[in-house]
Amino acid sequence: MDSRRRGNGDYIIAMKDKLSIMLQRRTPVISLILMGVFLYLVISFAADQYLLTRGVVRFLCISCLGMDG
Amino acid sequence: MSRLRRSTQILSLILVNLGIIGILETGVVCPFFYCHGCPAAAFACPIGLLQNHAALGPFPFYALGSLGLFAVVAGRFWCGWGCPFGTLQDLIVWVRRRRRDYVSLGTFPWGRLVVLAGALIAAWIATDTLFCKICPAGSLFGAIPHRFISPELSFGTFFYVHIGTLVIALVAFFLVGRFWCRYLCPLGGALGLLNRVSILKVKLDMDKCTQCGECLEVCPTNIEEVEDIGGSSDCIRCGRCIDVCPTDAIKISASLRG
Repeated sequence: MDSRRRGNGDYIIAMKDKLSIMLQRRTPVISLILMGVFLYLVISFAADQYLLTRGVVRFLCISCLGMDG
Repeated sequence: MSRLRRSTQILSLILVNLGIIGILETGVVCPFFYCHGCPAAAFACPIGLLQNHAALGPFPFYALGSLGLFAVVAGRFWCGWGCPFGTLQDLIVWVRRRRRDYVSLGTFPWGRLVVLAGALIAAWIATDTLFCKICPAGSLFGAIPHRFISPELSFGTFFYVHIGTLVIALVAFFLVGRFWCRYLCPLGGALGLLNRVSILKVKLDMDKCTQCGECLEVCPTNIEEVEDIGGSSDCIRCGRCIDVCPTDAIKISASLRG
């Protein structure tokens, strides 16, 4: 039982190492893809949502800070 | 490097408060935790903004895109070099003048993501920014300044809840270094997800490393394994490990390679 458990543990560690190496090799590709996706989101939606975000900064949510008008 | 880091922390505190000049109250998302309820805030708090979207819609493409970009570019570098709430915690550690924590709680990186998920789900269900009502950063940067500059407003129950959470947080900061960043910060949870693939990296050269453990000794987020330096979602890229490494095995650099 013990050896089987140890065997499973070794297998999991080996898989983890494999995954880590695979991830390390593909990091540049993953970074570039993610950057492209996030950049696309910002560029595409800034026109719609920038002013909304600015409104959030300008409009003071007094109830959020525990105050009443 | 620590002097440079302190300078950027002060500079970032000035930058986030440029909203005191009305025209500089922008719709740009902040890469770190800073309450846009602050009377001088120039940027939007990403967590407050995501809650707003969760409560009232529409889907936060712009906020998520901005947050994702910050994470891909520098991971949790923002926490170590810019976040005013992190600066406060560094200040408390400096006042305490103790390197090691009084209390060792181990690591629990999922805690931050649980807080993030909880805040967004609560906002969606209650159609209100509930996390903002208890946020200790909101207490410090939003509620307390308003107490002085808006005396005409009346202060209700949640103001005292704010004060309560801030006091609890301050006590926790005295007991455990960077407590907020390590266990509770929802933004740190989100940024930490991309620490491993971010362009700005802290790299450890294992050939030069003598396993002396100096880096782990000074790590404010209590990283326990040398191999986790830089890649762990706990790493805030503060660079303390770089300063103390006797063999210059640790470096901070920008590169696409893993």
